[in-house]
Amino acid sequence: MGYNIGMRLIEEFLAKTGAQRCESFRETADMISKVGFKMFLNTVPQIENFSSDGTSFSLILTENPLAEFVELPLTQYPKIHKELWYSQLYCGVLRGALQMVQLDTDVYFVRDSIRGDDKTEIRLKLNKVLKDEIPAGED
Amino acid sequence: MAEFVEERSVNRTCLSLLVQELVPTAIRTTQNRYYSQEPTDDEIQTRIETQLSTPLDLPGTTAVFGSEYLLSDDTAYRVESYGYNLGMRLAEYLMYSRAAEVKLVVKLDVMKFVCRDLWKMLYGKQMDSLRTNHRGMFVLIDNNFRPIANLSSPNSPAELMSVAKVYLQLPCGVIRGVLRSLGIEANVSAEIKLFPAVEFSLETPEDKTGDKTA
Repeated sequence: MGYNIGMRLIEEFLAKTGAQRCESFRETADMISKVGFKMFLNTVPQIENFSSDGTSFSLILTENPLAEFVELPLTQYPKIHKELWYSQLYCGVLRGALQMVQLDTDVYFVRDSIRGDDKTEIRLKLNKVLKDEIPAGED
Repeated sequence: MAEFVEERSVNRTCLSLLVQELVPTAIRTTQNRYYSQEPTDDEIQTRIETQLSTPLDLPGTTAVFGSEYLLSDDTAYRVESYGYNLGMRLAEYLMYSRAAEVKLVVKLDVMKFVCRDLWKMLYGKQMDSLRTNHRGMFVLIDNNFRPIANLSSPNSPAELMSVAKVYLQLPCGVIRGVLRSLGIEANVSAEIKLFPAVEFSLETPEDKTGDKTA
């Protein structure tokens, strides 16, 4: 679901902001948190733990509009607390949107405060920057 | 009371894109259940070439609407129940945040509540008209129902109608959920009169005591 949303959301993003190409992944990170999250979800996550090679970082969400009224049920099912990432949608959105601007990424949750963790952390890892290609039949 | 409810806004686009994905997801879930695919344990990251259900169903395409399960009862039921659960919660939230302004005494008040408060919250506008036969039948009309107004089909108007019909299960479920939460059992169905005008018909059990305002 998220991936599809992201693919469409990026168009809205580019149309409304007129953002230019980012020079580095660091700049991309800033763009995601300060422009993207601010514009769509009205919250600005912090960027932390940039890896030394500059290819991965964490977004720390202080507020999560998606989980505002949500509490995970206390059940016997160990699966719910071990495997359910309630806001997994974000990962898809980020990946779908970044794919559309030629960034192949892995996005996953590390911690989520509705699971009882101290904060919500999404990790983004850049796999590679895809080459701009002219779509088939348009050369 | 209103100050307890912290109002936070998100971009409208987010919500409409999310709603847009509900039907494809319902179809895929139905499909996966029919083929009884066990969900795999390893975490899969969707890629541009990941097949979401059938081979043609790639991210960003609309192939899923061609699925044979588009009009299946399972899919309709699934979308309706998303709405129902949402409606149950929304009713509580709305009653809580607007408790001072809303007085619900008779059934007609509840219907007005649906037309005004609920619709305004969900779609930013009120219902265009409310009719009743005073025997438990209510007809609510929205002349420009936004969620389906932007739908279009490259193939045929018939296909557009069938897709729109599935999308309409969601508001039907929401209305049913809200009414249920306020103590009224109702059958809700939606019909597209003149695209994108939608007519919601609500059947509720007739009041034996007689509706005072009727």
